This record gives sequence, C-alpha cells and structure tokens, in this order.
Amino acid sequence: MNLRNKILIKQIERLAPDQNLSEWEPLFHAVDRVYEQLHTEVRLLEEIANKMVDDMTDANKNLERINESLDGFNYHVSHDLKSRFMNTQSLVMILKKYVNQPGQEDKVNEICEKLEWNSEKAIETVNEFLEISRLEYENEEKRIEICDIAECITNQVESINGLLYKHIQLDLDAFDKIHFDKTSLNSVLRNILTNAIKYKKEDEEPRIEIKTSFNFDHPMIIIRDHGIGLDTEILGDELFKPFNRFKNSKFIEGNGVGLFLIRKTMESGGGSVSIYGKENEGVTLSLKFKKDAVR
Amino acid sequence: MQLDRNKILLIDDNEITNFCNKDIIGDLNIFNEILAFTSPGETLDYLKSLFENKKDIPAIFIVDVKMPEMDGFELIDEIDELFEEHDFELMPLFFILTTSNHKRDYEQFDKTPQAKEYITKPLSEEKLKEMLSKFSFLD
Repeated sequence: MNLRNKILIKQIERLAPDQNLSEWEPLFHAVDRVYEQLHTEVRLLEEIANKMVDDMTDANKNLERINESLDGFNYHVSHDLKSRFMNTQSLVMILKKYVNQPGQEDKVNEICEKLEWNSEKAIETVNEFLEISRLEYENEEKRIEICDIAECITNQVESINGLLYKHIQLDLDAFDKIHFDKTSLNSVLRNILTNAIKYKKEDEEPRIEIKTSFNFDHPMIIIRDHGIGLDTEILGDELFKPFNRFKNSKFIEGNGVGLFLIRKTMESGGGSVSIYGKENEGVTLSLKFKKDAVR
Repeated sequence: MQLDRNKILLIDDNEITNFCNKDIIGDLNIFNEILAFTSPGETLDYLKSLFENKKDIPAIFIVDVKMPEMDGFELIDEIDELFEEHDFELMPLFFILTTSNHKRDYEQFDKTPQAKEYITKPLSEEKLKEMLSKFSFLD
C-alpha cells in the first residue's frame, strides 16, 4: 500500500467510517496504476524536455528552422499531454465525489475505466512524440540489415493486436527480404497498420493487402487498406505535415503524426513514400526503397 | 426563437473532457439540459436542426480550441454565419475552454468578440460559478 492510497483510505475512513475498505481494493489498485503510469509519463516528458534543450544548444546552423518547428512541436506536445493530465485531474475529482456515495459503484467503475484508458492514451502520446524528437533532432546511426518482411509484419501485428493477422493478405512474390534499418521498417509498418485499423470502415472488419513489387528497379512495398479513405489528390502534401488532422479523423483518437513519421523514417533511410486514396475507398501507401535494398 | 437560458452546450473532441464537464455543470443544478458534442460538424448539424424545428438555441456554448475538423474560433465563425442565414439576431455566450496559454490563441480570442471568456482547463465548479455569475446566471 503506498502513500497515495493511505491518503485515500484516511479520507474514506473519515468521511464514511462504516465503509468496508476491503471492497475498495480494486479502486486502490486502479489509482495505484494510474499514478505509476503518470510517473512514467512525467519521466518520459522530462526526457523529451532535456532532449529538446540539448538539441537547441547544438543546432546553431539550423537554429531558425528548428526554433520554428519546436514552437509547433511544443504547442502540440503541451496541448496533447496537458489534456491527458487534466482529464486525470478532473476524473479524480469526480471520483472523490462518488466514492463516498452509496449506490454509485457503477459510476465509480466507469470513472476508473476512463482513468485507465486516459493513461494508456497518454503513454501512446508520449511515445509518438519521443519518436518524432528522435527523428527530428537526432541523427541516429542507421543499421542496414536484412529484414524479413513477413517477420516484421508479424511482429508489428502481434504488438498491435494478434487478431488482426487474419485480415491481412500478404503477397511477397517479388521479394520477401529487404536491406533496411530494422527499427525504421518496424516503425513504418506499425504506423501504417495502426492507421489502417483506426480508419477502417465502422461496420466492417479491417482489410489490408500488402504486396511487394519493383518499379523501375526500385523495390516497393505497397500497402492497401479498404478503410474510410480520404481524398489524397485534394489534400496533397498537407497529409504529411505533422499534427495535421483531417475531416475523416473527427471521431478518431490521434495526434496527427502517423504519416509524418512514416515519411521522415523512409527518407532517413534513402527511400520515399507516396499515398493514394479516395473517400470511402481506402488508402494505398507505396514505400519506395533504394535500388540496392534488394540484392 | 429565443435563447434558452436553461440549455448549455459543450464542444470538445475529447470525450472524457465532456464527461467530466457535464458532471461538474450538472452539480450546479442551473441547466435543465447539458448537451455535449465531440465535433464542430455535429454541433452545426444540431443547430441546423434547431432552426428547422424552430427550437430555442442554448444560451451558453463552451468551446474547445484544438479540434481536428476546425478550431473553436472557426466554429464560432461558422455558427455566426448560420445565425445570419436564419436571421437569428440574438447571440449566445461563447466561452473558450482550452489547455493552451499560447500567444496565438489569446490573439485569436481577442479577435473574436463573440467569445466572452477564456478559461484554461480543467473546468472547475469555482471557475464555472465565477463566469456564470458575471453573466447573471446564478441570480
């Protein structure tokens, strides 16, 4: 039992002395978990902040450019993280109110579930921002290795949701291995698959086709989903700008960094990405690699 | 059609924020109807339906700034246009509720006369009472 719970118990004992505290065990665990997650988040946040400060002192040449993008970055980081923390604050405040009221167990459970979900989202947000700051401000050494495409996809699917696998159709006839930085390829695939699930049609299972091919000797991995799609011809390059979110995402949680990360990561490995899609017809992403990526 | 002082409308793309704010506002026992929408589009559709059915417009709108479709200030402009289209000349009170204390948002706020208050999140009973009493909703 940690300090926070002790305070919570004292409050409950004081305000409702006839409560059987053992019944509140799940609540205490939930509160504990939330605090632990918040701790992790704060640590990660400090890491981001430190990284930004370090990088700003280094980047004399690109100071102006970096300042500009940092401003946008900070605005979004602080907005997205603050929202999560504030939700935690508000939820705890409401929780305190209901915890002492008899007959409000359902409400208390609902709030605890929201707290848990909110913390998970906060961690996701921090991870995405960490990934961006790594890409933007760190020139990480790329380690080119032979990546087994099917294996990379399987790993990502398992980390997102194992059940997804049956909705993916793989055609790796042209090539099934590629020379690329494995961390980068995994990150790109994870972002694409996450998008495909997020933007699936509401009343349908996701359907994703992944195919390898060559285009003027350049190896390509082409990923097509059959989700709600968006009109890429109208949106053009806006799609790849960070923090942009579009009409189709109005009911979908997200930070607007997925495509930005995909492009950055592909470009840092000497490749590129293009997107084609129409409303209601899903989206096709074509990953283009250097010619010598398949040997 | 009038402004209905018993009706308040929340617009925030975060469902949890709406959940919390509804609860906080509910405790005040001032409003009969607390509506919450997660997108500007839904809000505009709702208002259009009010005009079609000749129902009263909520007297207070609490609007988030950063949302995917359009930001809170753009939404206020759209609502303004909608009112004009329907020759509705009364103006509800718009309160901006945001996590941001960024200069650009303050500047936007200053340029939007319909927005009467700039509240930083989280919403609390105290903040709410303070602004409601300013506009004599607590009398």
